[in-house]
Amino acid sequence: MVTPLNFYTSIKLPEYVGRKAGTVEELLEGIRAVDGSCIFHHTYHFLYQTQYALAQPKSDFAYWVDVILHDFELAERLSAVNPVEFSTIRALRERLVGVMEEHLRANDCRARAPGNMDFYFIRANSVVVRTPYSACDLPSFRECLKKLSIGSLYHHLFESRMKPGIKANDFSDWLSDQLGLASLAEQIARLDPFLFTLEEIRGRILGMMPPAA
Amino acid sequence: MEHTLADYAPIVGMEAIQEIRFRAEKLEGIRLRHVNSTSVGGGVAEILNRLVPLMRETGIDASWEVIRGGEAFFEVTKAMHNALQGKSIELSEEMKRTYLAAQEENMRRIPLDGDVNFIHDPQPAGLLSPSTRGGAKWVWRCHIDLSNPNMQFWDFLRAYVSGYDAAVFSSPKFAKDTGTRSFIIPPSIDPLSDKNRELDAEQVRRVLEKHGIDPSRPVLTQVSRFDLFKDPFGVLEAYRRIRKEYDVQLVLAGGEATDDPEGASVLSRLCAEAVSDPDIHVLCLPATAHLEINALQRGSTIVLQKSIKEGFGLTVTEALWKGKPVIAGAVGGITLQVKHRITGILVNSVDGVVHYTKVLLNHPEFAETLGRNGREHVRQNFLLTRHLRDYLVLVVLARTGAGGIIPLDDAIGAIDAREAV
Repeated sequence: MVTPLNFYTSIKLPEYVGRKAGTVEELLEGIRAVDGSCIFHHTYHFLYQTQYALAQPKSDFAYWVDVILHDFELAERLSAVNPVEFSTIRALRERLVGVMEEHLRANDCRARAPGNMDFYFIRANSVVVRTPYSACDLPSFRECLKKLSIGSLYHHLFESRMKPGIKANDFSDWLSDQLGLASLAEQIARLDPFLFTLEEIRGRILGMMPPAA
Repeated sequence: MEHTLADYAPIVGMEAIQEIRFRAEKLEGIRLRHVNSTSVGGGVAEILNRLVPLMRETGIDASWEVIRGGEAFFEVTKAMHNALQGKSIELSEEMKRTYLAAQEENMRRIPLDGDVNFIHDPQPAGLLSPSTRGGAKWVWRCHIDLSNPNMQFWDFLRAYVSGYDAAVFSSPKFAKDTGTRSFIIPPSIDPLSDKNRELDAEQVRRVLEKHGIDPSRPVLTQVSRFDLFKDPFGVLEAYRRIRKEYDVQLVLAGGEATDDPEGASVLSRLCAEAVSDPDIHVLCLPATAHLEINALQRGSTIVLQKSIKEGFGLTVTEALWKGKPVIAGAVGGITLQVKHRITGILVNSVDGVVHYTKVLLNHPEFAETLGRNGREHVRQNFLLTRHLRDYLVLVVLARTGAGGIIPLDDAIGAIDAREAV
């Protein structure tokens, strides 16, 4: 008996937490101190918000260090931290902190953001909404996939990786556990939002599936 | 003209419209009361005029009330508006009394019976009191830049604002510690309005030619009030330096400045500068010239917004939406919209404008990429439908106190709340 896959979408509302940074050191202190929702906003959500432009820094942190502080080496290194490789915000935060500490040890980072160009720490508040879509087999999964919003795709493919008990993502886990399609599940799990836009990812998943009968 | 949600589907996608409808389903019948200080003119009235009917279409019982007050009250609130944005003004006891008397009068007149009451800007902020609070959630929507306020006025206002359940700012840069949660909801543009809707090439050409602009040669345009903060003389200097090597034209288009002595003086100085150069077009247009502004932006090769101080910068949003490469000052809300070298170009000097204008004139493919990214950035983040969606989410958050997902250090928390919201 297959447990149906219910589709959700997540909508986010940013909240200013009253903390800002003007230097690399202050940014590091902030990254250490803010709650996980802030790290999530500046990494995952940044990627989602600007996913149409692939050749760009991959987080708010990297973008700010690049464009405002002109610390190109640190920007490159922060850009290389791919949020979707981490299964917890804790691990992602530790990597960001590690990269910045190492850079601060080796470099004299005195640059201060000019004017009102400080980095403002924002928390992501997500509201998850059930859509009317639900799949019980591969054909219905395919049909739902065509109709889902970008926010919904993002939620199931990337945000879901942080849910307790999730092995890869919502889609891969369901295809593998419920339909026994381990190979398709594995291919979907390897899709990287650093390399493709979410529309491209939708097209690729549709392309991976056997054609409709 | 009033539009329905379905009218926006070809622009933002049916999925985005569905997302709004799914969200609104759980809010059907909820009473939302918006209160502001004017029903016409100004960005707040413009946005409420469009948002409230869309909210109603989703099944929400949304309404909009305007506070009343005498001349003395509006003089106080004008002073308050300027002081909260940094102007040095003394707050007298008489001003406080005038402000509070108008609040009392409006409390009696306006039905503040919403499940959620949205109070816009400082003018009606004092409507929240123990007698009006009821069981409603109260949201203070601040549309102005509070980053550097006159503290006398801010302390007075903060006493009221801190009692709200949430505050909303257009950018974190404009936020101030309100003593309550501060959400960020940027403003938006309406892609179906006369100022932003698609125009055909013929309409654009006609407007350019009407103003003596040659559509076959590059056009640099800045659309803004004739205000020194928009640095029109910096734009003029940049144009003159570029003009030495490139056959460009300059358009400086803005509104009439009848009630603004400084604006009138800036305009007359610019007109004097334009006399000796037929390729400088200083256009003073009526406030209703939306289609003309639309055509001027669409007919431009590059759009400039060389502000040295800026609010959110909706003229930048408009230009980005039209797929234009934009060169803009790295100030205010512009930095939320223009991601340097991705959705446009950020500059800090006349030199920057000159350099990047030459780059874009010589590399039209780069200009096109910026324009394409800019339009997509606006499509995803700064259109009316996103604004509506954010308000719906805010209503949920104001009523429940938390989102359905709270990313924690080790996992997503409160995931089971998904059904609850």
